[in-house]
Amino acid sequence: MEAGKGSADLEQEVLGQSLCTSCGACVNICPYIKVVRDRVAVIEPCGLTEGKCYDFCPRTPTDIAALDKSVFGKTRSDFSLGPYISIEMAQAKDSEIRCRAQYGGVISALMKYALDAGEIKNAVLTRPFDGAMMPASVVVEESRQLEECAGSNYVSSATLARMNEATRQGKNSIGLVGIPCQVMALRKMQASRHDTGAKGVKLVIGLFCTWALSYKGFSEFLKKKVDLSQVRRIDIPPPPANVMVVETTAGDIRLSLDEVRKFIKPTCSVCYDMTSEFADVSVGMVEGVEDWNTFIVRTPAGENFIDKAKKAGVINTKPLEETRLEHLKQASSIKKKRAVDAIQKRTNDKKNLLYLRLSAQEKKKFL
Amino acid sequence: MGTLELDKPGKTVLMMGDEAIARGAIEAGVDFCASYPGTPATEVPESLARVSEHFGIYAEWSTNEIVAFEAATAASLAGLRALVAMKQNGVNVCADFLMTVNLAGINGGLVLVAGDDPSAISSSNEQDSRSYARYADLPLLEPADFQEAKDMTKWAFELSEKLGLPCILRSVTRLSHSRGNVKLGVLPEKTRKAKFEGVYISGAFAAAQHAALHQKLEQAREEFETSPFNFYVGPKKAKFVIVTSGTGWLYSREAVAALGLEAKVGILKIGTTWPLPEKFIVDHLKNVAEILIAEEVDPFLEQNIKILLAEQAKTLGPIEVYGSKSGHRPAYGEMNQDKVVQALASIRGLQLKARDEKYIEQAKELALTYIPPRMPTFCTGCPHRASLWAIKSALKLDGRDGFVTGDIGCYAIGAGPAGYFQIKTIHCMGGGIGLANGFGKLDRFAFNQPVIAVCGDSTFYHAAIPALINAQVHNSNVLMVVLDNGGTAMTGFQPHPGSGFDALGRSAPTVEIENICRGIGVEVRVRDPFEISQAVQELYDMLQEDGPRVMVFRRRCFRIEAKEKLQKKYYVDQTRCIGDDCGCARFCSRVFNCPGIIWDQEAQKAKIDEVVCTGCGVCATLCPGGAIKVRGAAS
Amino acid sequence: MTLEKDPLNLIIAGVGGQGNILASQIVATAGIKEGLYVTVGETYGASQRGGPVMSHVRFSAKAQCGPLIPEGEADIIVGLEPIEALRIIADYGSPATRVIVSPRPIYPIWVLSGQAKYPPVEEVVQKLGELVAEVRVVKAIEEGETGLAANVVMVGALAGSGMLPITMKNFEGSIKEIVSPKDLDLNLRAFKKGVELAGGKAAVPVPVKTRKRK
Ligand code: SF4
Ligand code: SF4
Ligand code: SF4
Ligand code: SF4
Repeated sequence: MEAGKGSADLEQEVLGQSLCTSCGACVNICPYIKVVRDRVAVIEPCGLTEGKCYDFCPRTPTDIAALDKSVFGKTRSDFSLGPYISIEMAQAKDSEIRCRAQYGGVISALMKYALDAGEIKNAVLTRPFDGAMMPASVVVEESRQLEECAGSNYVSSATLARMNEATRQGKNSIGLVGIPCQVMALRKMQASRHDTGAKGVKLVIGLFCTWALSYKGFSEFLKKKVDLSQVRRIDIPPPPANVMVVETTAGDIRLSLDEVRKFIKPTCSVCYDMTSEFADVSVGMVEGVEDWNTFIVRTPAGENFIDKAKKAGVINTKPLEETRLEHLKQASSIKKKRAVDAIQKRTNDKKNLLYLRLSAQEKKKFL
Repeated sequence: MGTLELDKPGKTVLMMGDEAIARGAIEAGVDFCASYPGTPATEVPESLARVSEHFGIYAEWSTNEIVAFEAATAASLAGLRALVAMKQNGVNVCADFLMTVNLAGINGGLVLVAGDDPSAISSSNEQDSRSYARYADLPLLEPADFQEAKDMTKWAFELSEKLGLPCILRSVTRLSHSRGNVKLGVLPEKTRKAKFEGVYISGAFAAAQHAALHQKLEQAREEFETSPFNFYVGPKKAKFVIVTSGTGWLYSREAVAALGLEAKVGILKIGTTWPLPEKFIVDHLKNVAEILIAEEVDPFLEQNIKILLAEQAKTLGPIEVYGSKSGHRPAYGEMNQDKVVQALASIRGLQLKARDEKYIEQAKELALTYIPPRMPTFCTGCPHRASLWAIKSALKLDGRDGFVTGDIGCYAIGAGPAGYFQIKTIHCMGGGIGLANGFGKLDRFAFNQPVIAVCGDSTFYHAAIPALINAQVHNSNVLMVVLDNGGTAMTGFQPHPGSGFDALGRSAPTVEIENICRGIGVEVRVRDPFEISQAVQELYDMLQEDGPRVMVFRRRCFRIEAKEKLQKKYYVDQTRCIGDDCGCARFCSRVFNCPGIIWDQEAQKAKIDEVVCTGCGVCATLCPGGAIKVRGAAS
Repeated sequence: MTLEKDPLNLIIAGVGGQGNILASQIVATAGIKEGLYVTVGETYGASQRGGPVMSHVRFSAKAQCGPLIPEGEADIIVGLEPIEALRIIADYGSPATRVIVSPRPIYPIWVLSGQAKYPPVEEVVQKLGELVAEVRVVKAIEEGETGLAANVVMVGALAGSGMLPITMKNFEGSIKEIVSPKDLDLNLRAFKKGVELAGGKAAVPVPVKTRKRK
């Protein structure tokens, strides 16, 4: 990994280029970088020429193969989904969890189990609505607090900033739920030669992600249609509906997805990861099947944990049909290809892939 | 008992110029004092407030200068003696009333003390307020030393009463804030009762009133012809005379002595500078060939004397005039003895006993390169530091190149490193919000930078409200941040309408800033700047909104707070201090810059200087290592 | 009364917040008790926080002086802070100036922030010594000692040095007149400490290597 740069470079190369994902990895590790909602800023460069912030960021040079090695002990053979041990469909056994959560409720069920069984002491995850439509990252100690965290959100919050705060307080048995950029940053932190509390994260559940919205743009847009304090839930029903449904106390509002897409964060267009390739376990929806999740077990630690969870009867699983798997691979590959294209367009240089350091095989596949 | 109350006529005491003015007022039997604090005039009303019980004086800190002047005029109209004091900028605030009260006239003695600040030591300009006297046709007195400060003030009341006009007494920082010998006079019996009679309407017969005013001024001139505050020292038949007023007198006398010119150069010292005592001056300039005018800032005396010389050309013949026009004195900045010496030397072709060049060079070299410069900064524990850090953070997070308009007050230091270079404009009281008001309407011209107007709490009451109303009425995009530290900190913590106590320290009703904002209809939030991350977040949120908004950062200045509370003792647990490493890089001492935190060179860790730390604790909330702790507290 | 030099010019130099003004007020009031004309000018408004502050105190048996000392005319400098004493030599010092200085530094903001260096105090004193007739270092405050007013200790040292034609009685009378009764004891103690220091070991005149005379 190329290190050796500092906050001034982070500001110039990432924040200044609208490449920040708001993952929060660089926040709360020093007094210079702050986040409010999904806005991250270097308040004043610290003056050091080399620092953690630059090292941790998922949009500073990231060598995919090297990260594979550090997380999985080997490089990948599947170039669309990343390393994995198994792929299935899963759902929470508890029907109550299932109906509160969107789709299969697997994440809520697994986190609840992990906390109750003492696999982890704290869960760091996102609560979708924290007033005015902005999600909030929270640290949860007891499983009943998880209830509020069910549901999807379409604006990213700086989960790793919250995690940094927790590890600074000495918390060292953490389970983290994050989107791909957050998971990637977390793995960079764990692999870093810098001292970091990220090693205290024992379980990483990654979500699938295709894009996130910028809070400012989207909320200003939505504000014109509804009083934000009335928003209760946001959902995107499966295709071909092509709408976003905003449930409010004054009734539902349906927004055309084409309109909503205008507020996608620019950094999402250069994102190379749809399925949280560096997580212990990745979870996402299955197109066309309500109530079930796609479920990728990637690391031995993840496998070990899932085995216990299955034994404890927390989740049901069943095989993912071949056509659906192919479909998933295709979707992931399309995202990668688009990302590489977008990057090349940005840099105007076929060889300059910004933050991405790809192996020769990957280059062959996606360039 | 202080010197102000001392009933020992003839005794010599040490007094500050402002105190001497106050004592003069006391000896004149002053009944009423209303003022707004402003350097260098603050200590006049402050002194009167201190002894107000003793002498039966009513004293108040008014909302602003014009209100103070009007209140004092009311006392005069009711037959009392009244004083109002202000800094030079305050005279501008009064100007509207000044230009009408001169016509309408007054009753009891009314003295306006204008404290000018040559070199703008504590000001945003160095205006010469003497021009107001000429402009408003009012008598002007310029004390030259401490004794005169007292004696002239006393006389100013008599004069004012006699003429039925307010009298302007012009002091300068160097007199107001310096101390010297004052021989005390007699304390009077006070017997006045207030009763209003008569009609005082300016403009009723404006032209006639104006004519009458000119007559009164002639009457003043008559009085001035024999005033003991105008005198001549020096040889009987001097061909060269220095004409001087105010502090120029002491500098001139010393300069003449330093050059050994006592037998050749005379000094004509004028204490009553408007209207000029023409006969007196003409008498002393007969047979004189050259004059040097030694005064501070504008060529006020110089121009008036030149007019007089032109009028009297037949009597006086040609007289060469040296002064600012001739380039012998700059018409800006403070006067001093050296400047007079240089002027004299160059006019008379004298060789000065110069200081050793090499010596000066060596010492200058040390002062400029060997030792570090010392910039004024916010006090240890000052809430403005936290507020400006919050503002900087919010603007940076916002990312639209927002900026801050400011006005005058302690927080003006925020334009420099102490305030992280945040404040970009400074003019007058209330100027920041007024400007922001205009910036906030530029959106149709593709302007999208957010604007934050900062103003102090005292300034809010003084001058910001009309602009805020304007912003509301015109829906201007402006975020006003009121830095509310509980008093008028710049000048020494005089109370304001939100403080809850009056000039005498007695409890008083408060007018809350947030209630005023709500009354205007502007969204207002109140936050503690010491809770920095919350302050940043809310400020950021407010920056995203349109229209006028007000954030009150409320945290009492620790100097007020310290009087009431035992302070906590903070220290740095050096085992937890991250120091120079990534993760901190000396944030506290290098960036946040409270003088209470120093860098321990030996340990290469931070350290609290417990002698200067006020125990505000804000650095502890910012320290990433959790290294700054309270002594004695459980960990 | 006549003064060996008239006017006699004293500068008290320090940093905002060090109690410069009280110190000059005590000295000046003592001078008035002595029957002298005294003028005290404060340069840089006291309202400036943490900036350099100096008081010009001028004594004359003949007349009231102007509030500012002319260039190169300081006879005595009392430095409440070492570099502040050195800073003013270029403007006011001469080879005949005598200096009494407290060695305790107050770090300017740019030193705290690492943009400037504060030179070693002994070296500052040495450099001072090269420019003036005499330097006396008075440790007004021991490391870790709090509570005692350093400014008044320095006034005591000035009184004890015998550089001013003012009696101890008038100094003490002045303190009694100026300081509020509840702080009087502490201040008198500080003053006495200063007087002793001026006579004792703590105030060692620094050997001066090069001394220029006009
Ligand atoms: S993480 Fe380190 S290098 Fe980056 S801004 Fe903070 S202190 Fe500087
Ligand atoms: S680390 Fe995360 S929050 Fe920080 S700049 Fe990079 S993407 Fe943005
Ligand atoms: S902010 Fe805290 S960790 Fe950083 S240098 Fe200061 S005391 Fe040490
Ligand atoms: S507690 Fe910290 S910020 Fe507050 S005065 Fe002391 S050193 Fe300064």
